[in-house]
Amino acid sequence: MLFLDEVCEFPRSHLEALRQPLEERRVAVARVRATVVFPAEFVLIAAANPCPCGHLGERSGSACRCPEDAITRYQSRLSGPMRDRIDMVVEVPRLGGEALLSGSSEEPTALVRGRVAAAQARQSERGAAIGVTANALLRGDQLLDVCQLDPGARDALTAAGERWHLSARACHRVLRVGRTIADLAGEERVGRGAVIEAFQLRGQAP
Amino acid sequence: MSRRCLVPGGAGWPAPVDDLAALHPSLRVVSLWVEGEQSELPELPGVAVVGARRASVAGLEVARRIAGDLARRGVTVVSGFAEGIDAAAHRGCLAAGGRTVAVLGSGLAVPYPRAHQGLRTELSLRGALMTAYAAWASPLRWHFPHRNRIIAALSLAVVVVEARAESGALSTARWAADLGREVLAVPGSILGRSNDGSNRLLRDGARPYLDVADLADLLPPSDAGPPPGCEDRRGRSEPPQSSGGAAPGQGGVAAHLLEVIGAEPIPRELVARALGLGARDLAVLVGEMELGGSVRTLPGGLVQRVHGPGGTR
Repeated sequence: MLFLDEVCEFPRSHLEALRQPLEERRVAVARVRATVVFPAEFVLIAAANPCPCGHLGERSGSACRCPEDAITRYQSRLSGPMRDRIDMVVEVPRLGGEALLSGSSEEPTALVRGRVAAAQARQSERGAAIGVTANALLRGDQLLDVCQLDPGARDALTAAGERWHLSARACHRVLRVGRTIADLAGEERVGRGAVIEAFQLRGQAP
Repeated sequence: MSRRCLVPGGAGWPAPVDDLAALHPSLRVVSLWVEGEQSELPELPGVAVVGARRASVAGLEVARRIAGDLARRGVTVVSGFAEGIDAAAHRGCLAAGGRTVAVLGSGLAVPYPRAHQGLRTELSLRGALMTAYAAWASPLRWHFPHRNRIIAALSLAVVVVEARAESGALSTARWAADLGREVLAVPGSILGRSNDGSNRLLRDGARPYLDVADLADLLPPSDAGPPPGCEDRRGRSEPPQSSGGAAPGQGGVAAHLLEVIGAEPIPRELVARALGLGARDLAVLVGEMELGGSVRTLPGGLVQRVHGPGGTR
């Protein structure tokens, strides 16, 4: 697990260096005498503010005080190819004092844990035949086999791909997330709902 | 790029500016610098669309729509090239194939605001930038009230979108009133302070702007009709998801969702509560409708209805 807090504060060159390990799951360090390859399997989690002051998009109206070009500059630290490699974007709105104090009625973590464990078991059981233990490790050519898309899901994928001009990599990533959503729900095939939800999680709005 | 200096009575001088001198001799504008590739200025007077620099998503959408409607009537859109509403008005006009004039509070050689250099290029190709200041004049604080009265003078009417009580757009409206131009304001929410100024204008007797028909008596009859090539109805009528895989009975919920959310972006959790849906079901529903093009999601967890020209579908 690699967690980068305030990811937009990192120099762009450092972030771009993550592209190879993210894609190939290994790091090649080239020196004069030799090139050494290290394994680098990790899940990248990054946190960022929407703008330098952190108030952009807040419900309370125009709380953000950043000039437009500062926002653009800030957000462009994370390049398009890097964004393309991020599967899920979750917005975390500020909680009002009332919501904080009222106590939450959310699902307890222990329940979620049970679901996650079941999904993982399902993944490794299915993957045992092809030597893949997690959905994230599925290669492009294995994906279609494993996902067993129903016709509705297939339609959704092609429609979204056309509408938002998705790269092949992006489509594969959506399928991996969709497979995981179906696993969490205990479904054998990846349905239209799972694919659509995967798109929503990607934050792929044009 | 071509820059030129206009003088009163000379070729290309926009005569409506002289109304300022009629108001008081000290207000006379003695020269205007113009940047634009076309040899003639867009037709003036036009209609000014002005408002807050820090505008809400909805406000920007409103400004874009008003400017687009004006452009389709063949009316020049005048604004102040500032961030927010002003820029949205210029963009909306250009996108509808219209012509627009930006009046600056700085010299033509000063790249201000910096974020707008792309817009500037487009504007100088298909409209004009205009200023009373010499090439290298900085955008100083007291330039803007002066700029505002030029905007008012160049317009038949001033439409104010989303202005706070202290907004410079109100000074444009005041100048417009002094010059005998019509002042209109788009009514806004009374929650928060972002519409205080424009709503107060309404209370003080400004005309409410609800659609372009509110300007009809001021504009020349639209004999020209919409200019050809303006992309209104996009040709691709999208069939509403006819695939067999869609969840059954979704049509009803989808219609309900469209009723719940309006053109104003609203938070997802409110939608979920209104429809009695869990976060997952809502994500699937919204995703489905986003794919169909009837809804869009915005930063901050907001959803908004997408209005095709003339309503939905």
